[in-house]
Amino acid sequence: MKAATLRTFIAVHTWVGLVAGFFLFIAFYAGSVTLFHEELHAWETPLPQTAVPQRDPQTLIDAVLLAHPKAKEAFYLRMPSKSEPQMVLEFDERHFRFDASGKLEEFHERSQLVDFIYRLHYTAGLPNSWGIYVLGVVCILYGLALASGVIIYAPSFFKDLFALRIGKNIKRMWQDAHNAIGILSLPFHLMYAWSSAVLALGIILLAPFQYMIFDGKLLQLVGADINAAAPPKASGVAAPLIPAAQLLAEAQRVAPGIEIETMVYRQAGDANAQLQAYGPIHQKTVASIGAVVLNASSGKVQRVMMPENYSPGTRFLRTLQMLHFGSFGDAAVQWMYFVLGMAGAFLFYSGNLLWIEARRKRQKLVQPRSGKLMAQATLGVCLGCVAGVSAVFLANKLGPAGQLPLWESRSYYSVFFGCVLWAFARPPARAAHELLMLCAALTLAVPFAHWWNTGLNPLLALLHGDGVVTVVAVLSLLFAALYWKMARAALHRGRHGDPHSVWSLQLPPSSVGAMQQAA
Amino acid sequence: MWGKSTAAAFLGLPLSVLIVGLAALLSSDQATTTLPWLMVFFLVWIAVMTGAFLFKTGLRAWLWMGGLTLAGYTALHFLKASGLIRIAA
Repeated sequence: MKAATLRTFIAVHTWVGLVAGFFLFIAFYAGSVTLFHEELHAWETPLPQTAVPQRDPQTLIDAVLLAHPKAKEAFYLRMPSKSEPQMVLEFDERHFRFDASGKLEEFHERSQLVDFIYRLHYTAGLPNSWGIYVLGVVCILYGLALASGVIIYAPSFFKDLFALRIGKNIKRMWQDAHNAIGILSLPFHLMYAWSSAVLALGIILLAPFQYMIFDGKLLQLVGADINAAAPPKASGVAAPLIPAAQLLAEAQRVAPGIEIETMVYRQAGDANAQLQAYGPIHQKTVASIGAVVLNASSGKVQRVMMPENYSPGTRFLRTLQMLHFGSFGDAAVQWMYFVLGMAGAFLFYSGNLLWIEARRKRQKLVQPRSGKLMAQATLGVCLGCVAGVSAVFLANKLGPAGQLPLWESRSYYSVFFGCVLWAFARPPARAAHELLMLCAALTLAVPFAHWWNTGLNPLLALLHGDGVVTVVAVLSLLFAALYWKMARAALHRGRHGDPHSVWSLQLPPSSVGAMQQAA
Repeated sequence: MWGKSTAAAFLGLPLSVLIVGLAALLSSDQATTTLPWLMVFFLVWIAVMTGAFLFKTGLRAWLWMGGLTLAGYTALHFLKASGLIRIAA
């Protein structure tokens, strides 16, 4: 490869990496936590100790439709699950269930810890309505960074693959760590760049194909591959619903082995009423969700989508989505994804640090301003996200009951923006030390806040069979220790490291001279 | 560098939509292969944008990619109008 081409791609990699890196750090850190959303749901809202009486789904549907007739256009029914033992009906983002005495109640989620961190994962904390599209564009930049990164790295592939040169040359060591993680987890990153772009931009990118290539007929070609069924039109002829239990039995008859989790009703009470029933079928395929579409007032089966009879397009799309969510291989896959996800967050963090190192002036004590600003922005955003996520966990246990969702989001944003301001107000080495100490302290406090709030000793929890509490406690201690060690290292480098760096706390001789004169 | 970057940013999307769209329309079984092609689109998009940086100058990138895009969409229009390429829906 020509040197000029190589230089071009180094520039591409640097700039798309810097722009996308901040968002990707937040997406990967929050995403790694979100992998355990079901387990954490049990952590955020302790499950009821008494068994919840199981009721016929039709009684809940009838009760809601009686109280809110406009729900009949579209509503969702979530069947009881391990992390949510009660049946819930949703329409227009309102949630309904039966209370203990069997009366219909509208309720709000007591806490939104998992939902908040999930939103953080795909919006990076930007407003919900457009944050996902910003992250979609970031995924495209991420794809470009991966392509250019591989091109830069290709010439020295075999020489550098397993190299980690720890020594005096800090830039070399960071570069080796960045390369090793980047290349060894490349398949994981390719899958994430691709699947995230499909998830975030897939729908709006149908538009150029629809109008510029397929003359408005695209959805007729791919609609059946993307959705189980199009929403029905009301016929205007009233017809009662067939009882849900009967429809469920029919769905199970035509799709043997399906465990229905979600029922989506449309135009209930009309002759064209439609039920889409979704749930996993364990067939040892990555994409394992089956769907049955029925006419809910005649009971006629309209479509059965099983992983085994997916069309190639559906299989491609669903498999990419399932690979993204990591829900296909239970704990082994979750933990592998967690490790790779955290390593990914480190990849983006180290990328920014490398940029600063590359710009370092080796002989001068006064460093370029860009390096200092980048150091501060990296510290503020990355450590702000880390501290903020820990603060959400704390708010969940320390906030006033009844207002937890508000406290959770407020604590994230106040900690995040506080950290960003702090990073810009302090010299980089001080900010690094202090913010990492804050991360360590907030993370360390999580298991204690849980203990204080529930009265449940994390070690005893294990004996009670609640492994989630113990694992959260152990991970918190581990991460707190890691942040504490990093804080010490940052301070040590500031005091004793090379003074020709933005990370140095040693004063340039000119200002030392000025101080001596003043003294 | 700015020339090549803007060529990648502005011409990458229409050019890769054209490439993938043509491939999808040339398929003998459009109902089955169109969605897979739409997924592959993301890889083609990245490849086209990466390719924009291989030109010697930004001007060349703009002229080649812009020329291909214009010629491609014009050809597509006439192929559709003449019935040589049909949309199977």
